[in-house]
Amino acid sequence: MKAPVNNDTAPRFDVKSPGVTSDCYLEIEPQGERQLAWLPVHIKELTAEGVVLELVDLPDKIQVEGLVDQSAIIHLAPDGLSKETQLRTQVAWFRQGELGASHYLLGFDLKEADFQFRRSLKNLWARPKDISDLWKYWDQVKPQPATNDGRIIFYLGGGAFLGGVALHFALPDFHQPLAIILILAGSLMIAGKCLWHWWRERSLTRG
Amino acid sequence: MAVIKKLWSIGGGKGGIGKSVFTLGLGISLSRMGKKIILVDADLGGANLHTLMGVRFPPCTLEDFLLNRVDRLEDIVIETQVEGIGLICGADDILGSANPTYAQKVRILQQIEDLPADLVLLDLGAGTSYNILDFFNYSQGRICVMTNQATSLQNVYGFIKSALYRQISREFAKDHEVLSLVLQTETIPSEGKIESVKELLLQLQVGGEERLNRFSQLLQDFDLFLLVNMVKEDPDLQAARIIAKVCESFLSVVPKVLGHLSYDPAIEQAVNQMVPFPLNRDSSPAALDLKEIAQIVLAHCYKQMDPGQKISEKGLSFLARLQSAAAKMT
Repeated sequence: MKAPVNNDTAPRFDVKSPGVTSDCYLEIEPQGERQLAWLPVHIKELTAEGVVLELVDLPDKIQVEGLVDQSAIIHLAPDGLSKETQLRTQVAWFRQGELGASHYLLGFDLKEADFQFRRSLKNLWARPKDISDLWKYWDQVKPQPATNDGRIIFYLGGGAFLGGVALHFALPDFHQPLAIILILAGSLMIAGKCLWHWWRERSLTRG
Repeated sequence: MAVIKKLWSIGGGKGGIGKSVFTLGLGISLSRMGKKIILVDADLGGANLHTLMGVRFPPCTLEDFLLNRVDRLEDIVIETQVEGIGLICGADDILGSANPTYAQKVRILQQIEDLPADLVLLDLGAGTSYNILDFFNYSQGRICVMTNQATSLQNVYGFIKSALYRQISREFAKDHEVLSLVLQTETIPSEGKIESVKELLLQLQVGGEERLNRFSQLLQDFDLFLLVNMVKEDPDLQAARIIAKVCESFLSVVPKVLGHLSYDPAIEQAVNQMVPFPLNRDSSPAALDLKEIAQIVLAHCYKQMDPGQKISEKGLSFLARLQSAAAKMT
């Protein structure tokens, strides 16, 4: 029997949650900061002249007032017709959002945007938001397929263990430490991989 | 105590997710609790509930009733090998071919509801045809079966959305403004598009309190349950949480999670042997799950839920705010 579903295991959809990716990112260099910030944004409104991007969770270290007139790059995920596209532009204005202190709407000019960028922007904006959210939740909770790296660790661990056992019986006494080291290393590798797998499953269940 | 929810529909949009197996299992589990159950195979065009029940050649089917070969629906209920369970076998998609009006469908459903049983379980087919949606919406108890597969999530959400919009379209059939707002959500997005029922409610706020109240009531009454089938691991259960969350955000309805049915090879064996599951397999994991689910279903049959419990507090406060705003305007 599986454990009953409770609220603790509910998927969380916020930009900080692991596994959640955005279709649109804003790359910006905040004033006084040396590091570029990559901010996940949603396309809120789109007109021929400009686009309004919704910033759900502005990091505390970034002052939104300082973003106006800052140069920024809008990165768009592949839309099925074209690969990733980007546009270098400037933040024209900002407005406080309704969802809390870190929720903002940022306006951008699209004068410099080419046809491909506009088409990608329109395609991403036109995606039904409910289905889009459904897939984002899905990405967040779906189990990741086992990678070859994981299998290799198992094979290496198993090989070391079996090799150690074989050496234990085959080699004379003064080579026994080598056999024991191999057995120990193999066992630790397998145990570590099992623990990692268990921890990952547990964190997935907890959302 | 009178039964408040007698008619239960089992749908889910997608085929092959175990709706019929679940309907049968739930029926058997309920009958073991002393309830008289009638199963109706409403999977018209793909009827096989009788096969799962071990009946190879049904002596009569829904077709006999739909083509007026019998007067009463009761006359086509066949006795089964499971004590306390009657079965109405499905027919070819004669209902779809006949294209009945809504009123005709309601008459059929009323007869189904009047069948001599404590509970009637309606096994719906796949898809989102109007007939399926109307049968689903008419039922007092609605269960959506799903699996953790991506396609099932997509289909079950589409099914719930279609059912809700069908209900809104029927309820507001003469209100052109509401209909045009509802239809707008289905068109290619444009500036100022409506993407959620919440946004629809905000638009309706302008139309006055009476209409807003009707709409809010419809949402409150649209309660449904989710059941995750073929669960192998704990993360599989997240499928229901995803649907509940998206429904809450975009449809302003919060499906309750009824439970889950573990993946159980005993089910496959029972299907292949044409032995009704969980007959003679009482200790299998899926049989235990069914027992638990049957108890929850029974609890809901006899207990009228407080309407306030049917939507989340967040949704409720949103509706309450809207209603109070509309009241101030009028």
